[in-house]
Amino acid sequence: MIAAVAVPVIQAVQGVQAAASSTPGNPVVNVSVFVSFVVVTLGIALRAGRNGRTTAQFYAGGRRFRGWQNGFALSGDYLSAASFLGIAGAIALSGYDGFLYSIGFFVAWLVALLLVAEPLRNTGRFTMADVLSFRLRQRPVRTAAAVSTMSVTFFYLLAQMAGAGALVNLMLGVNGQGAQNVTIAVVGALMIAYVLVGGMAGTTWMQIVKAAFLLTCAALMTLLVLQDHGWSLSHLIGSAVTRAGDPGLLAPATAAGASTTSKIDLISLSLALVLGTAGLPHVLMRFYTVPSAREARRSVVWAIWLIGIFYLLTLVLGFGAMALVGRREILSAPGRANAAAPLLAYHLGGEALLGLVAAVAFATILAVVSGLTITASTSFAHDVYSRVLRKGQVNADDEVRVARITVVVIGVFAIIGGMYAKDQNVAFLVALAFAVAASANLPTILYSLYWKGFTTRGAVWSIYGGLLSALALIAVSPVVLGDSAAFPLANPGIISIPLAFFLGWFGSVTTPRDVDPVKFAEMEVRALTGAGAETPA
Amino acid sequence: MPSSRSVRTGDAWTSPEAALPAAPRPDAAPLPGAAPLQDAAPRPDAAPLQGNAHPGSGTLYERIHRSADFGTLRSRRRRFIVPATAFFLGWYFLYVLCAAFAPGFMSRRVYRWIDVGLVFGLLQFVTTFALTMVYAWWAGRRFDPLADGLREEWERQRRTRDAPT
Repeated sequence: MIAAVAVPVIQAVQGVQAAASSTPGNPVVNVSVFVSFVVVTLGIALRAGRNGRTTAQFYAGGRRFRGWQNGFALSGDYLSAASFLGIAGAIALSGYDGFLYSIGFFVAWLVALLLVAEPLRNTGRFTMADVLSFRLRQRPVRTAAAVSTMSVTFFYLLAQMAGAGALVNLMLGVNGQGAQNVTIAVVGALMIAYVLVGGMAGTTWMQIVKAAFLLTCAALMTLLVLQDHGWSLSHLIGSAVTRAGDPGLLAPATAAGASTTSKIDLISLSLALVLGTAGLPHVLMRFYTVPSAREARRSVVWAIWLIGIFYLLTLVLGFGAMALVGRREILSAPGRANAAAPLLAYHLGGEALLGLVAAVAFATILAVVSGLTITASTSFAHDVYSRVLRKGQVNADDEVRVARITVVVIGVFAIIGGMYAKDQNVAFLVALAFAVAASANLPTILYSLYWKGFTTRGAVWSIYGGLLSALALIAVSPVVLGDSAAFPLANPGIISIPLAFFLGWFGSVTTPRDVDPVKFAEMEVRALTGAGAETPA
Repeated sequence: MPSSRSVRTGDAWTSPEAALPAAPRPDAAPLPGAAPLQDAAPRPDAAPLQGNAHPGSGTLYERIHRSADFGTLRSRRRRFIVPATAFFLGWYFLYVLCAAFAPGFMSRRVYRWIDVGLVFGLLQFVTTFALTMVYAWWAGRRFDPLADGLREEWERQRRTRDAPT
């Protein structure tokens, strides 16, 4: 299996080596570091996946991960290539604005820590829909939750796949469509292999290895940048801004712009970022891999430290790239903003460090797409197939078999979709996923955990209303329609999130007597104390 | 780095004799403002959890839901979570609004190349880390012991009910 996936990579490299002279770095080094990562993590996945027979083992890794392990895995899932390459690049090109993004992505974890992680762990089994349907009618609520889970996951998956295609331009120095498609297919094939072989346990171990790899790499580069600037952040920022010749880069002005529309757009984006994280299905599903709510809390605490430290490192890396590489060189590289971190690595440590960064970036994409795939397949097999189509009359073997088939189907769709979406803006697709997560998922999660009067109608209206309004507003936004846009904002959150909250409330208060006080008492006791919560398999 | 162990004090909650409403509290020094457990008088409709003489009505979950201890647990959590959430959301959107509408203020220099915007942004990291650790500390000290006691009570009563007689 390993040979089967490694061969196309090497062939792709051999085919493009001749054209590689335009890019710094050695594709052979890049690919060999990456292949060793794949070999090591596939080995771990094989070991971890040996007992992936039951649903709890395949979907939740047997619920036996420790808090710190799941904390690393959460940060591994969260810190996608968009975070690593995208935010460092955004800071390198536009200064302060990139920092604004990372703060939104980071503060959002408090919503997960304070409001969602523990009650979710205590009341659900594998998916977000478990929690939503706890005291509401199973079929409509599960169907709605599965639709929104799969929508969010699919946009996120497309973004990562498109990112993989863009990355190959950068790392291997090619522009050919063929090489990009080969890369996307290889990433997709590896992703299917990881998830089939390792299930949730294997995916989790890959996230842990990748997160450690990513943080070490970022920390190493940060130390080199700071050493270069007398260990002074002020000195670093000074030389970055001086080299760029624009002190305005330190102000948030470029994001806010001059017009009121762009200021409101910034607020709309911030709303989606801060409320979207705790609605991302692949983040929520991680809370079921630990034995208890207390371990879920610990894992979020670990994730907050790791993610926070990482975003602080990207601040230094971004200004480091601005100071040492220069904006002109970044803009002229293939991949533009995404090239900032790799170019900085080349500047600091030559081919070896660039190879490391390239491999980290590929590993990041691979790990994130695997986490997304297992989430989507769980949602389909557990929510749609087992609970809605078969009304719970399914044995565990059958359900896991359907989940495995779904993994392959999703993988194939993601490969094809990724090939078509590779010219899409990666940041746009990620922002779309966050906006949908914040609109369709978070309001229903909060209502069902904390509001006794929440009803099936409220849940269904809120999920579909949030999902459709976010998608419709994006479809008529300037990002899609350009100058002829019917909606002035690029980010729909400021409309779709309040709308979903309103629909959840309005749908509930207009339902005649649909509240089950016995079920609510059970849910609340279970959410807060863990009495009756799922235990490790 | 966060500690990986929570504070577990006392074993009163694990002993089967511990009567729920009157059990000694594991955290002996209550914070000012937190009503002591013994003062949380059961409401007239709240049947005591303990004792087969007064099993109360409804399911075991419902009886726990009505108990004074559960009321304490819920209101204690609410008293922490609501202000903490209001604080971090307010503080974050204050930052975003300043970034959008007060670029002049944000670009004021504080020290050499360090400006208000950078300090404000870094303060978001400081407050997020701080709130995370305060919550973890609070939950380990003030929330977990009470929640554990209720869960153990639930498990004990369920065992009793399921035991063959």
